[in-house]
Parts: sequence; C-alpha cells; structure tokens
Amino acid sequence: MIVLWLALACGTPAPQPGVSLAPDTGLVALPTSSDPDLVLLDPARLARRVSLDLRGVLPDVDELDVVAARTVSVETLSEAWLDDPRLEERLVRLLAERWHTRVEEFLVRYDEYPQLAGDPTWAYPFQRAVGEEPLRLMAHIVVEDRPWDDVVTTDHTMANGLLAELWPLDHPGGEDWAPSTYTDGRPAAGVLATNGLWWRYYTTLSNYNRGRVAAISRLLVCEDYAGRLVSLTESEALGEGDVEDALRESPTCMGCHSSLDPVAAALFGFWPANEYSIEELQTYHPDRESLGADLLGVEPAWYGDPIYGLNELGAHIARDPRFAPCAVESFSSLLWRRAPTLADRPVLDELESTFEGGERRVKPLLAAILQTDVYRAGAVSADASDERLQTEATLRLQSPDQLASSVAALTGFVWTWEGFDQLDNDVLGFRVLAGGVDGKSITRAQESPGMTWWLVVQRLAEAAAEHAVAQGGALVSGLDLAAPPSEADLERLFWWLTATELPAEHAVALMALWESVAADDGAERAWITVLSVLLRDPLFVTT
Amino acid sequence: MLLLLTLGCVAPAAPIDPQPSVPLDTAEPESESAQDDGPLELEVPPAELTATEVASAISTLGSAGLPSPVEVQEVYLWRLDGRSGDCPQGSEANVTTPFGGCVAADGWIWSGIAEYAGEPPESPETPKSFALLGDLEVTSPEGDRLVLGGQISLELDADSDTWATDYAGTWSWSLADGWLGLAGASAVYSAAGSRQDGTTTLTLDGSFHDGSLSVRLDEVVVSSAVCGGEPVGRFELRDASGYWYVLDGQDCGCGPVGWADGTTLGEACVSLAAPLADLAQAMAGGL
Repeated sequence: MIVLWLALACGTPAPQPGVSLAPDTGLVALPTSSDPDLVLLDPARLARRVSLDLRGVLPDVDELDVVAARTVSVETLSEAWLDDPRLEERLVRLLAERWHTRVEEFLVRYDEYPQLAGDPTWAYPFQRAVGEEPLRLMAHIVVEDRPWDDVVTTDHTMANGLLAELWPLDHPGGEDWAPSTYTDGRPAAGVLATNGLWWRYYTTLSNYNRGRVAAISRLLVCEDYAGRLVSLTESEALGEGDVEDALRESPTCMGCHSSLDPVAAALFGFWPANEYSIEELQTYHPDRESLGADLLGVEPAWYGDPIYGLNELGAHIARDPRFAPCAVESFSSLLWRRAPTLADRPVLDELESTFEGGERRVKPLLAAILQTDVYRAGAVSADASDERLQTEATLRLQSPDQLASSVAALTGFVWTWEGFDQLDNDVLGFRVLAGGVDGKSITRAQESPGMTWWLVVQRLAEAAAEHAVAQGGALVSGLDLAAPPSEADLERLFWWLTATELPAEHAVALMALWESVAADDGAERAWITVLSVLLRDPLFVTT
Repeated sequence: MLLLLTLGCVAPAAPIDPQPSVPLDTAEPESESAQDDGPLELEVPPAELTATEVASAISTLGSAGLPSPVEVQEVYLWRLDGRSGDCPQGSEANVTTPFGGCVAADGWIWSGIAEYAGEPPESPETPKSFALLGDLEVTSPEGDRLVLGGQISLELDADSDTWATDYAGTWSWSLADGWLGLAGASAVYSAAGSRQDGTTTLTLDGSFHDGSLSVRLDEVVVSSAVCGGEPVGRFELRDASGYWYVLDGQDCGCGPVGWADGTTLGEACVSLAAPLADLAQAMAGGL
C-alpha cells in the first residue's frame, strides 16, 4: 500500500442538466461502419465515450439503459449534450492539448504582483488564469454557436476576477470567467489580442515576434514552419554576416522568413522592451505597431496579402483557404485521439463541407465528428493491416481532466494539495504522470497505460472511494454500506461505471474481495476496497 | 488486492511538439495570395479628426516633456541611496531581489532586477554616459511607485560634442512632474544629437505613448538654428480603430495630413519645438 501522503479535499459534483430520454421513433438501428477495418462500439459504450468527451462525466444509468435498449439513439443524446453547460469546460481542456497555453510557468510569476506576493496559494490560480484566457475565449465562442472566424476577429476576451484585477481589463465584476474588454487600445483580433497567448508564445527582443508567427501559423492554418527543410550547412555559413540582412536576402532563410517576417511585423504592439517586465508584458503598446516594418524591413502581410496591422490580421487569417480545413483537422484530431492521415482525406472533406455549411460553427462540426467511424471505433477488425492497428485509437485512456471530473461527479472527491489540483498541474501534482499534456515538454496526451499513470489512477481510486463512503457520494447512493453488496448492486455499479455488463466471474471475484476485507476490517472498509477496484477497472479508466 | 489492470507498453512521451499538423491540405498556396478570391480589402472607417485636430493632438505629446534617459538615471540613482543591508542585493549600482521582493530599512519594497553600467553624474544637469536594463519595481511605504521596465543607454562624446541614446520601455516614477509621472506611458526611440557653435541639433526616430495618445516620430530632425526649432519629418497619430493619421511635416513641421484610406485631410503644423529642445538640452548638458 502506498503511504497516504497527499492531502485530500472534497468538492461538489456539478449539477446534471436534464436530458430528455423520450424514446426516438421505432427501434434505433445499430450503427454500422463503412470502414471494413473498424468495429464500432456498442451504443452504451459509445454514449459513454461521447459523454466523457463533451461533458467530462459518465452518462447516468437511465441514459445508458435507453441507448442499450435502442429506444434513444446516441445521436439524440449527443445533441442534448452539445448544449450541456459543461461543454465549455471540456473544450478548454481539449483545446489546451493543442494550444499548449496551460503551462506551469510564464516569464512573469504570480509573486511579482504585489497583490499576490506572499501567498503561494495564488500560484496555481494565476498560472491557470493566464493560460486559459485564449482557451476560454475559443470555448465561449463555440458554446455560443458563433462562427469560428470570431476566434481571430472578436473584440473581447474572457477574463476572471483575478485577471481583471491584474490586467487592463473591463470585466463585469465577480470572480467568474466572463466576456471582458481590454482597455489599452489593442485591436479586435480574438485570441491574437490576448495576453494569455502571447505570454505562452513570448518573444525575445531580437526574435521580433517570429516565434509567435510560427505558433499561430501552426495553430490556425496548420502551416508548420518547423516542418520545413532547412539547410543547416548553408545557414551556418551565414554566420559572418548580418543576420537580419541574411534573413531578407539569403535563399536559405527566405524560404521561411519571406512569409513569416511580414506577419511578425503586425505584432509589434505586443513586443516588449523587456520580456520579463510586468508593465511591458501586460499592456498592449499601440504606439509600437509601426516599429515592425522598420525593425524587420518588411511591411505587414499575411502570406503575401498586405495587411495594415493587427487590426486586419484576423480577418485575413479567417479568409485564408487553410483556416477552415485546419479547424476541421484540429477538432477531429482532438476527438479521434490521433492525428489525421492521408487516408482520412475524404472524411475530412465531408466534415469541412458540414463546417462551411454551418457557417463555420463548431457545434455542428463536433456533432459530425462524433458520427465518424474513426470516432466510434471500438476495435480494429482481424483483417486490418498492422499499420491500421497502430494508427487507430480504439481504446482511449481517460485524460486527467476526464478522470478528475468523472470521479468528482461520482464520488464528490476533488484531489487538491496546497491549492493545486493534483490532476491538473505538475508543480505539486501529477498531470503528466497521469498521461496529460503540460504544453511544453509534453505536448501530446499519453496513449497507453504506464507505471506512473497506474500509480496515479490507483491513488485516485482509493481516495475517491474512501471519500464516497465517508461523505456519501452519488456512487453509493442507495447502497447499504453496512451490508455486503447484492448481485444487483454490483451489476448496477459496473454498468454505470463501464457501460458494460458485469461478467459472472468478475462478480464472484468482487464479492469474494468484499467478504475478505470485511472479515478483517469491517463492512465500510470492504466497500471502500470494492469501489476503489471498480474505479480503476480498465473499462472505467478508458473510453 | 486485485490488480485488475494489465499494464501495457508506454508510448514514449513526445519531447517536441507532435502536432505539426498533418500537411494534408495545407500546402502553402502557390500564388502570392493566401486568399481564394484575391486579396481581401477591408473597409477603413472614415477619419474622425480634421488635419488641424491631428496636428494639435500630436503637439500635445510633449506637454509633459518627452521621455529622457537623464531623468531615469537621476531617479534610479537617487532611489539606490535607499539600499540597506541585503535589500536589495547586488553590487555597485546593480540590483537583484528574490521573487516576491524585499523590504529595505526605510520601508521601501524592492522587487526585480536592474543592471546599471556607468559612472554616476555629479548632478542631473551634467549627465554621464550610462546603460540601464530594468525589470524592477520599487514602492514606497506610501504606495508611490518607481517602475523600470526596459533598457536605456546614453553615450556622450565630449570630444566630438555629440551624444546618442536608445530609450525603450516603461519607465515611471509616480511623483515625477514630467513624462515619468504619466500613468501608463512608455516609449521606444533612438536619438542622436550634437552641439556645434551654439547650435543644437537632434535626430529622433521612435514611438511614444503618453497614457492616452500614441504617436510616432519618423526620422524627425530638429535644429535650434532653423525653422524656429520646429522639427522636420513624419508625424503619425494612432486612431482608436487601429489605423493611423500621417502628417508629412517636411516644411518646418507643416504639411499634408493623410488618413489610412488614402485621403488627404488638409495641411497643418505640429508644434514640438519646446519639448524637443528640452530633450536635446538635457543630453547636451553632459558634453
């Protein structure tokens, strides 16, 4: 048994909004795959995957029952879940896996602000508030069913009470995240005008925003400068001359810099005279907008199209023919849990048609992605090639945030320590060990179970089970914790937690475990043990 | 205890960004334009100011004086006299503090770092060459703040009677009367000057934000011997829309005022002789 060295805290599960379970007309047809290599999940297991992806919680038993009975389709439930208020939080976490802004440190620390210095419990809220600003703006645009173009053109951001206290923001008040407006004269440019994005993708004085352009190019139009071939031999030969001249004149450099530098020239309102100074970083500098053209020797442009500056950049990005396909690929990749391949092109084309037909609103796109075979796959057929077997993510680990939210909803347990969410940070927590993305050293979610992942899951399951029994979480509602579980109890619990019927031998093993522990430590401990085992069942910790 | 989970092989963590997104349909367009239907042309809103109003606004830039490295040098070295014991740490005129800052014996709170190179001047009227890099905030017990955010250098050459300065960043002292006292002010500029036979000249290029106005002085030249000390050059004023007005003041600070949509609003003159002369004089005092 691992020594219990972590402080445990409790929380209240989020309220479940009502979802109509009125039956669809007739018996819902079982989904079939148009891809012979893929075997689709059964409806209950698919509903479970969708619920975790959109809401971060398991379907309740009633929801599982109706989809298993095929009286309500998964699509019907999905449609309702796309309007669930928890979607916004899930999108923040999903988008973080791609945008990488929920990092552990920025060039400015919380304790450089006099208001926060001396109180270490501000460290975690500060990091997350800064990193989540652009993510919450994007998530808010999605749940408001606005066009994705707004991500680069809208005139507001999202801020909470902490950011509103620190930065030049007009915020409606209170501590919650809410649409807010910067008061320092920055243009309307969506995430491109957020401190959070540029604190993550900072620039040095001499880099002149070029790294930032590489980031937005990759994130918004899927054009990755890092993927371009560079002749290091020729680059090194340039060392004796003026670097800035070489960037403009050498064919070796121009391959990237001819398109990169003109975009960088539009970002000089965010160019700090000292990249560690709060005053320089938190405030937009409208007077510096035109310095870019002087310092870089090029006029602002977006891939060849002249732009006036940041005030026009977003509109040009949104009109770029790569913008919509990139959004489709990005959301598909996040929900498929794998990168798209060339073989996905026809599916992506269809998704793009849906996206464009829906005026680039993301909710219809998400609904369409949820119906793709790749998303619904639960296995690869025996006849599939090894390459296909390696490519598809048919069994997916719950991400750390999914684990945290699903366990919290079931047991009321929220794992914190010194103000740090244990499954959401790496300074005083286990985000990466639990398979998560830290946005700097780890940029892709873990795909297979590992030892550290297992240790975190085990500890989470133990603590959550103990909390549920002690505090009466939803998971134990209706159970007699002074008596052994009935077969029906175990079947219901297993169905709820895994969307799978309990195998007979498994039921026997669980009952034997309960009796064994109860004999030594009593009924309560026996229940804790059984529940902790269920909460780390392979079918629970995966989707 | 039952170990129900079979542990599998762990996919190695990605050390570098793996999302170089699939270049499925993302090849850079062959044409110069990234747009499907030709370049996107956005409508520029109509100008809200007249030519005279533009010139007038630009002329207010110097009403509190222009940012001077000499003033920064003076206030920084004055405050450094408050150093006590280990707060702030650092040798000579350099400063380092721990994260979270430290409190000096006089109650001032120091937070950040500063690196200073150069001899201290005997008086503010006779500055000496120096360089200062700052990420520092010093707060008095009453809440008055000295902020150093950026880098400044001043080089004086008494042999040739010339000087040059680079001033970049947010530098403020809340009790100052001039530019340093303006809330939210910052600037990035380079300037060079000389004093020959009683004539002071100054060339300046850079941008200024005084807390409300954003102004660009583009290759501005001023001489005490011509145009009554008024500058010659391009003067730009930023509109709230993100577009700029441009006053092409090649005629002693007078000239046509253009708007971002290409229209000319008329002719007007800026009046910046006094603040530019003060700035030049402050530096020349050290020659």
